[in-house]
Amino acid sequence: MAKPRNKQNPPKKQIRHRKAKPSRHLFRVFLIRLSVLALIVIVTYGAYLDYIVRNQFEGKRWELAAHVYANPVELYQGLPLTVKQLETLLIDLRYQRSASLTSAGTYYRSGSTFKIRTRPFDFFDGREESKSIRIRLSNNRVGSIQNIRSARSVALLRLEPVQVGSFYPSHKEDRILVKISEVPQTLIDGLITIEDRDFYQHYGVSIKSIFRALWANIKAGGVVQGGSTLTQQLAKNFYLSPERSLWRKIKEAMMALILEFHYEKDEILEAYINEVFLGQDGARSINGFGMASVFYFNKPLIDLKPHQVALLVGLVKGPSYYDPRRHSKRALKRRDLVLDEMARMGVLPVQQRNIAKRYGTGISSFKRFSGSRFPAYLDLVKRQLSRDYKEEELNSDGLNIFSTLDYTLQTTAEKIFKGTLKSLNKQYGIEKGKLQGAMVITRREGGEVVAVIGDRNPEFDGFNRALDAIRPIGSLVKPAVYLTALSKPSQFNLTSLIDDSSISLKQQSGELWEPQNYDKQEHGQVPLHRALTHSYNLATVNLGMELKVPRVKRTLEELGVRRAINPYPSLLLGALPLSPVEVAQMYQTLAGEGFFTPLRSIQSVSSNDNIALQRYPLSVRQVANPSAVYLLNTALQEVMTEGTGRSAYRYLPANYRLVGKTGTTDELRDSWFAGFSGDYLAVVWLGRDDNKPSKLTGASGALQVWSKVMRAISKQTVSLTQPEDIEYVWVDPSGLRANEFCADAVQYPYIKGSAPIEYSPCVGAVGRTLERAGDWFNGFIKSK
Amino acid sequence: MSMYNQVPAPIGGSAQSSNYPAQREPAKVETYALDDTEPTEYITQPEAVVATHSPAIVALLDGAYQYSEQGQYDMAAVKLERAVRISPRNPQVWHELAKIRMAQQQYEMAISLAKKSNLLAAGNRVLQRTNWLLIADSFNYLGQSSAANKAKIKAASLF
Repeated sequence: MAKPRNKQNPPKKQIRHRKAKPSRHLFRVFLIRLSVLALIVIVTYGAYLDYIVRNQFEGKRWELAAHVYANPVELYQGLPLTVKQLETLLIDLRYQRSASLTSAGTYYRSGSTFKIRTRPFDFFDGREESKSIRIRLSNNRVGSIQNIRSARSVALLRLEPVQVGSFYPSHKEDRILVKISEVPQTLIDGLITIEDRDFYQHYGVSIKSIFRALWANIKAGGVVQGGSTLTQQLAKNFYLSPERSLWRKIKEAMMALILEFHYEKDEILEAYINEVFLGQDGARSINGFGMASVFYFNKPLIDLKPHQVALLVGLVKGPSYYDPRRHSKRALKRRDLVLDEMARMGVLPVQQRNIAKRYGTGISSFKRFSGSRFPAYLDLVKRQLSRDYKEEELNSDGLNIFSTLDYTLQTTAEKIFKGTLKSLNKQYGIEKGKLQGAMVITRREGGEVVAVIGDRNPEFDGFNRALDAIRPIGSLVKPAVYLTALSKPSQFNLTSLIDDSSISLKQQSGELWEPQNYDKQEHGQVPLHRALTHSYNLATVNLGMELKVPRVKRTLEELGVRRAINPYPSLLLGALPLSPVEVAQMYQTLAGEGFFTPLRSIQSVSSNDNIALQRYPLSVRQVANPSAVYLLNTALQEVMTEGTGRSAYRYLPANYRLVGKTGTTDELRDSWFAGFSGDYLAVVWLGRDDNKPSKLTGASGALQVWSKVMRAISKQTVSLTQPEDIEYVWVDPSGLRANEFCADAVQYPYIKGSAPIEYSPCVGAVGRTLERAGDWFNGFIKSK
Repeated sequence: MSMYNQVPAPIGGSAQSSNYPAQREPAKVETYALDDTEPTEYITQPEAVVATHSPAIVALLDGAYQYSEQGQYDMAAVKLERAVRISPRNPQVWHELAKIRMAQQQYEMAISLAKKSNLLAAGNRVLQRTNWLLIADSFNYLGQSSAANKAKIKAASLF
C-alpha cells in the first residue's frame, strides 16, 4: 500500500526540493506532515480493505444456483413396473452397473431381480439414507422390496429425485458447497503439496515462495511461476479482477494478511476449495471441488479415490488446458505429476501412488443437466415461485425446489408429442414446421402438474404456448353450458330435449350472429346428452340462451376460470380465449368431481442447508354439485364412445371409460382436446402462431396427440363416484320412462326426482302398475 | 419450523381469485381453542380400513400420525400427500388430511377435505359418519352452528 504512494512521491519531492532550498526546516515540517497524511491514508485504506474482506467472507460468500428437482420415484409392492422401466429409471438417475455395489449410486440386475445401493438424499420431510436394496419384479409389477442387510421387507422406497434444471446467478457460476469435514484428506494434502507447501506456516504471504518464484522466473526469462499462497489465490479470486499488475499484487497480499489475521487456516482452506474455478460447461462455470467432483466423476467429493483427487488438484493450474474430457493425455500427465509430488512429500504412500497411476482418467461420460432440460415446465415453476421469491433469491440463494414434475412421464410425452406433430404437419400438408402446439398433463386428483410442453420442439426454450398461447377454446366451453343446465335438475336432465334449430342474435356491434353446426345441418329436437356428445352448436346456443349467458359465465368461474369473461352469446360456442394451462385448471374441477383443486407445480422449497422453508400444500374446495358433475361426466364419456372423441379408442382399451371433449375454432384455426383417464388429466392445443387455419379439427389433431400420450402414460380406467342421490332409470330413445324389456331402451343416471315420469308406450299397463307398486313399496320401506 | 404462506401460487396470468365469489373462502369467523368443546370421537378405528391398504400407505399414514403427534402438522401433510400420489382416490387418506387441517385450525379446508373423502367413501358408512362428525366440529369452530347441526344429523343417520 505504501509503495505506490512512495513511487509517486519522489518526483514531487524533487520539485519541492529545488524550490524549497532556502529553508530546510520548512521542508522537514512538510515531510513530517506528508508522512502523517500517508499514514492516515494507509490506515484508512487498510481499514477499508479489512471491511471489504470481512464483509464478504462473513456474509453470503457465493451466489448459489437454485436447483429444481422432479418428483421422486417411490417404489412399493404392487406398483406396475417393467424390468426395462426400472433399468431406464436407474440409468436416468446415473446409477452405474456394479456387481459388488461398491458405492452409493450403483446397481446390479440379474433377470428380473435388481440389487441397488441408493444414494442418500435430503428431502423436505427428512433424509433418506443410502441403503442396499433387493427388488424383485414379477408379472410387470414390483413383487418385493427387501433391505439386503437386515433382510426385512421395505414398504416404500424413495429414490433420489432427478435434477431437472437450475436457476443460475447472472455470472453462471455453479457450485456445490462442501464443508472442510467433508473433504478427503488426500485433496487437502494434494492442494498444499502442489499449490502452497508452507500453507500452515505462513501469515498469508510467503517470502520463501516469492523468492522461489522470482528465481524460477529470472531463470526462465518471464513469468512461469507464481509465488502466491493459497490465501493470496483466494483473495485474488474472491475480491479482485484477473488483471496482472504490481498494484493488484500488493492489494492481494494485503488482503491475504487480513484474511489470515481474522480467520483460521481451515476456514480459509474451505473457502478456497469452494471458490476455485475448475472447468467450463457451455455458459456454466464449474466452481469449487464439490461441483467439479460431480461434473467430472458424477460422485460426491468425499467418495473420490486418490487418482481422481489428484486429477482435480492438477486442474487448478489450468482447467481448460488440462481439461480431462478434451485433453485426457495432458490431464493424465499432470495428474501423475501431482501423485509423484505427493509421494515425494510423503503425504501419499508410494504403493498407493503406484496403484493410482494405473487408472485412466475415469471421467463420467455424463455431464449433469446444464441449464434447463424442460424449459416450459421450469417456466411454470419460476412463475409460481416469483410470487413468493424475488428474482435474486431464486438465482442466488441455492434453494432446493421440489417440483411435481414426473420425469419419466414428461420425457415420454415429449417424444410422442414431437413425433405426432411432425407427422400431422406432413399428413395435412401444412407449411413445413408451422404446426405448433402445447400440452399440459396433471394428476387427476390433487392437481399436480406432471408435464408441460410449450413448443413443437419441446426442448426449445422460447415462447411457452402452454402458458402464453391464449387462444379461443371453442367447444371446450360447452361442458360449462351443460353443467349449468344439469345443476337445475327440476328443469334439465340428460335426456331433456333441446332444440337444435337455427338462431340469429343481434350482437353488441349491431351485426347479426347466426351460428351454424359443424355439418351445417339442423337436427331438430335432440336429447341433451346427444347435443353434447356430437357437439351441436345450435342446441348449445339455444340451451345457453335459455339458461342466460351470465349464468354460464358464473359456472366457468366456479370451475376455475379466472380470466375476465365477456358474457356475450358467442361465449356459448367458446369465444373465450384461454391458455392450455387455464383449460387444464377448468377441467381439473370436472376430473375432481366438483371439487376445485388449484394446479401446483411446486411441492416445497428448502434452503441450501436443507431447512424447510415453504410448502405449497394440496387444497380442495367443493364448487359444483357432485351429482350434476357426475351427469356431465357421464355425457362426456359418451363423447368418447359415440361422439367426436371416438378415435381415442383406436389407441386405448375400450374399458377405459375416458372423459373428454374436443374443441375446434372457426376455419380450423385451433385444435383442442381436454380430458382425463383414471389417473391423469391432459389438455392439448394445436395451431399456428400466425393464427392461420391449421387444417385440423379437435378430433383430427389434438385428440390424436392426447390419445397416443395417454396410451403411454395412463394405467387406470376412469371410475366416477356415484353420489347417493343419483339413480339409474331406463328410458326409450324419445326420453320416456321405459324398462329393461323395451327395445332400444338405455339406462341413464338422474338426480333423484328428476327422471322422466311419463311412461313410454313400450311399457305395458301391467308393467306400469308393477313398477309403481315397486316404487311405492320402496318408498314404504325407506320411510320406515 | 415456520411455514409462511400456505396458499398455492396462481397459475399463469390468472387474476385475483377473490374477484370471484365462487372462488372465495368463506369469511373467517371467530374460532375457539380446541379444549373449549367436548371432545368428539372422530378418530376412526382404522383397523378394518387399513387392512385393505398396501404396506406403503400404512407406512405413510403411520409416519403422518407420528409427525402429527409431535405437532409437526406440515410434515404430516407431506407424508399424506405422498400417500395421495400413490393411492389418489383412497378416502382414508383424504380423511387424514382433513384431520391435519382441523388440527391446524384451518376449518374451511378441513370441511372441504372431509367432503372429498366422503365422496370417495361411497358405501363406507363408518368413514362417512366420521367425516360428518369432523365437518360438524369444524362448523362449530367456525361458529356456524346450524350447519354443524345439519352435519351431526347426517352423521347420526349413518349409524
